[in-house]
Amino acid sequence: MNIADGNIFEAMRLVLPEHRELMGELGRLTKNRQRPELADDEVAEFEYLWGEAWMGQGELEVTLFQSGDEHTICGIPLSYQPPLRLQSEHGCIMIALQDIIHVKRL
Amino acid sequence: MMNWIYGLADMQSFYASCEVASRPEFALKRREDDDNSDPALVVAGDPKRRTGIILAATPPAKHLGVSTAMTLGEALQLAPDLIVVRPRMEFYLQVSVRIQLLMKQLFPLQEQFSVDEGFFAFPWPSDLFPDPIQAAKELKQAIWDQFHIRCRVGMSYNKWMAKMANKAAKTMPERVVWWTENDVTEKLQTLSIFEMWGLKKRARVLHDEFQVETIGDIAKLPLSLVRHRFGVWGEVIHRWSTGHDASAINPDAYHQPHKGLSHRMTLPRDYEEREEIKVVILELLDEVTFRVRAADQKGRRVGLGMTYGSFSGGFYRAKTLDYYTQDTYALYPEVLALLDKYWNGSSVRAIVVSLDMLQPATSLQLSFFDHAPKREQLIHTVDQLRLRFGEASVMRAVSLGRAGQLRDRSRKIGGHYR
Repeated sequence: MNIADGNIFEAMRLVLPEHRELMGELGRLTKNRQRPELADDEVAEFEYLWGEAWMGQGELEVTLFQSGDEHTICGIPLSYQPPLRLQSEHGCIMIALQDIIHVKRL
Repeated sequence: MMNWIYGLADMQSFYASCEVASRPEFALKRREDDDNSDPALVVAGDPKRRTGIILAATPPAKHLGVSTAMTLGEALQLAPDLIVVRPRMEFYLQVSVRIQLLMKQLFPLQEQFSVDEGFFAFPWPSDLFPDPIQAAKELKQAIWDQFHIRCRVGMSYNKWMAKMANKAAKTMPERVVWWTENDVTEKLQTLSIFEMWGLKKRARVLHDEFQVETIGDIAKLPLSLVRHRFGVWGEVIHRWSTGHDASAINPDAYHQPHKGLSHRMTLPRDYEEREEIKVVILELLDEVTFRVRAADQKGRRVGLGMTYGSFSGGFYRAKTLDYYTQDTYALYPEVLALLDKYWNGSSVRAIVVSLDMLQPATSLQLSFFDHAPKREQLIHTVDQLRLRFGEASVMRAVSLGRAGQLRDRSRKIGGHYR
């Protein structure tokens, strides 16, 4: 144990090899997340919310799944047909339809 | 100035809680704020073997006088109606990693400390965590909501103080405690040294040799004196007694290469004969080298430890080799040399074999006298078979004898049933 490293608790812990393997396995699983499958009615609901916000200049919170991670963007739809565009506080953002996993009215 | 608050969450009677929470007949009655809503239940090893001890007990079982490490027979004498459950280690580990995942979702830093404990940390003051006590309560609630497991939380300005605050939380109604720098004198240093986590036998030495009663008394001793008596540990103990600890939270701690690996086995009976002890040493060494190979590492310090009959005395000794290896055949004679040098012939209750000073396995140790590449190929094939079909799928003939423990061990995790 090297006190200079300040790793006393790391040096003192006792971990079963099976436990460590499981942690690694779960870590890999959570890192390699797959895009969630959307049900037809979810897609229809998102489409409806998008259209409603586009017509009424309403603000949406859109969750995107990109590179195994979720990102949320808030803004007002600028188009109804693809390519979808959203006016956010950071400017106009293009959104790929296949990246959308959730839409919420703000 | 922004600081970090360190927390330690400790699951209550973890194995027993997993059992209560996963059985509908008990889970539906279980309440977070009422320990007595649990049944008097214990998780115990196989009563026919020495492992037949109490691994965990619910609070109502503890109220009946049952405690962990007591034998099942003793527990049943105290409480004949006790509900006895066999351990399910795989299940507990699955729950454990998921609880840690939840902690990771709630706090910016998290590090698992043991199967039922996890450190976390968050900046303070900060907009995200305006009230540390509330943050701890939310963690407790989230764990309860998802797992139906109670926990207590200790928080402070470093890991060590969080660990001690966690102990203090045991007696608090809400099981949440937050200690600041101002609590060192009043709350930490007034505790008995026997309450000081991590000291083990050193607490008795401090008490008997230095007349130390409280943690504060250690702080009054000259550092040189404590360091002289306990070596590097003396410095740690002295620092801790003043509330200091430099341990960082390392979220990647478990994804780094091993520094050392060891396997320990408590034997089902006292082993008297060298020939029998040799069999278990070989089995443990096989397991250690299998795991070292799986991690693609090699080591050069091999160790052997023994606990003698009735857990009275024993030894642990290691030898540093001139070369790195992951090969049982190279290490076995070295371990036997340790056995012959340090074993005093007493009956043996437990054996541990270790390999450390590990480094990445990049080279092959060549010898003029054997066929290293060929043997490496054979070892690799056996490893693959074990990975695919289980540890006991390929075993040495000696393991089939009376002394062999491999078959029984392969059915267990950490010495307890899967």
